[in-house]
Amino acid sequence: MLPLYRIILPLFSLLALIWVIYNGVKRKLDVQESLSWVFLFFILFVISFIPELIDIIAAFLGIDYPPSLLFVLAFLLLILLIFRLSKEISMIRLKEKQLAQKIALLEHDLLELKSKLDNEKKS
Amino acid sequence: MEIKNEKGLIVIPAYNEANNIGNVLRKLLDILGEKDFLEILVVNDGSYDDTEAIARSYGIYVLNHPCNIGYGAALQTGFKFACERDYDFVIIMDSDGQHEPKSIGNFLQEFNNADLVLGSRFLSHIHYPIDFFRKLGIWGMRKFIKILTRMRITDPTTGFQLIKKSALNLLAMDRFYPADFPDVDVIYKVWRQGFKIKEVPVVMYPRMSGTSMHSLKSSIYYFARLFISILATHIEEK
Repeated sequence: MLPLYRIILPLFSLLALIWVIYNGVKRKLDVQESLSWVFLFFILFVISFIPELIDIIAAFLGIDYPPSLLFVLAFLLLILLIFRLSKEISMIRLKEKQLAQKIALLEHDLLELKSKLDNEKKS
Repeated sequence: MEIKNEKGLIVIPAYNEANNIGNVLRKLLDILGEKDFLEILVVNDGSYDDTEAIARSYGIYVLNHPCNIGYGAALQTGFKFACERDYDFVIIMDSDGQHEPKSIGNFLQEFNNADLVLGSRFLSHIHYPIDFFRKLGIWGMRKFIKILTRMRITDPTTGFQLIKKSALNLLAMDRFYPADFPDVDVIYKVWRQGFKIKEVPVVMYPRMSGTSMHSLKSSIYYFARLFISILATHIEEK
């Protein structure tokens, strides 16, 4: 009989893969963003389908309990994903700063122009 | 006073300072009576109290950030405004009433001798109460800036400064100007570009009300950020 994780893992990665693609199609997730998640779940799916691959890599890396390799891999991939997201947040913050500054300066110019026009109308 | 035909702008970033901004502007306008070459700009950094309305009621320039993006970002908005309108210098000061407007005269006396004039509370004869952790932090900054520039800066975290047009352009156009606390890293950047830096004594008071942006947690974060920022400036200019 197959161990339970060998059924749950491919099932989970397949469902997650479908869920990510569904969100991408529904435009709830940016295509660029969805790619890294698709990649992550695809790798998980492939690995969980070929258990021998896990055993070979685990033996090569000296991991006694092969399934824990999956956790290690998932952990590393998640760390990479989070780092990429942190970089994205930094860039968004930078753009947010520039936009807020631009809006503040333009709003001031606009109000000044408006009051100039009002004064001209009055006179 | 050594200033002739120069136009200056006092830039005051403010975030939820409704309890303090009125007093600051009143005091400032009182002493500016005779100095018609100086104008005032409040940069309201997304406050959700009456900061903007109070500032506008004084008939000064007011810029509004649509959301809160940070003290440094608000300063830079002021710099951009000053560059667009061709001001010859800006004086930056806090909106919480800590900076004595009468000290502005000390900056103007050094106008012809430096591009960046830093106001030091520690050169003043009036004692400024300071807690242990901040004292330690400021001591560390002093040593840090001394190692980097060989300059003796007594108050490296001061937010009371005069910046001349030459250095102002550099800071206004800096895409990576810190959005939170621009202090030693900005001094270092200005120094690296060959601008002259001087210190003058200024009077500072403890906050009138509200909370300070400096705490132990933010100090630790601040030091780490400073280190990365200075390293980035160093590499960028090499």
